[in-house]
Amino acid sequence: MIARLRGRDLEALGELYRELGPAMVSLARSMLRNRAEADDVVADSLIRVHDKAAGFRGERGLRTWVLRIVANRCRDLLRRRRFDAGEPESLDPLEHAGLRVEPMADWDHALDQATALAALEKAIGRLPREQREAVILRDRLGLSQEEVAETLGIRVGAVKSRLFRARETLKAELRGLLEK
Amino acid sequence: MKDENLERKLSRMLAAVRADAEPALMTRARAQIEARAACSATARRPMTWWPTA
Repeated sequence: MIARLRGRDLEALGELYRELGPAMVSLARSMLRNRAEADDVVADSLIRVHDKAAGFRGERGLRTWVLRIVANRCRDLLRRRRFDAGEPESLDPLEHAGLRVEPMADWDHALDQATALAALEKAIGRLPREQREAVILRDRLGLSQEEVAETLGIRVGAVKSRLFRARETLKAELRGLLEK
Repeated sequence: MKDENLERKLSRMLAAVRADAEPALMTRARAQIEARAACSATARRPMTWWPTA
């Protein structure tokens, strides 16, 4: 596929999107928490992949290279947002971001899933951008710590530290709700 | 609640949220790439007429 992408084959770009699209969209929507903006970022990122594929040397995996492009586009957009108040309180943050929930088999039914997940999304939205990126790539997209480091262009030690701080914050914010 | 339980629950919740990749986004990107290519092909076409004063 990489050779065809380098040759600017649009069918290969479509194959890449079928394979990596869910991760690209999940990353953009989780980072930006705004479906329309996230979809613009994903479409722009696909164009960038098409344009830059000829220079892709494969020293990083294709998935981390593509996700890095998406993460960089998200950063650009977040920097340009002069005032980010997040989603209005009245809106369901998952719906606003265009995210959906997979059924959780062993969910504690004493706990309202929608309330807990909405609280989690809001807490993720309040994390510093560096921590948010790390926690989404590792815990939502399932990348290894090494892959997160490659995607973000940082050392594994920095990934560990960002993940630790993010999880501590999320646990502190959700403890009251999850302990009910 | 023990910290391990809380951590496990948090991990499950984080992993349970995702998004679908709608084909429309690929269609949009493809259309932009093709429109751009068509534009640059037009720009490269040699001029077949010359304006006269």
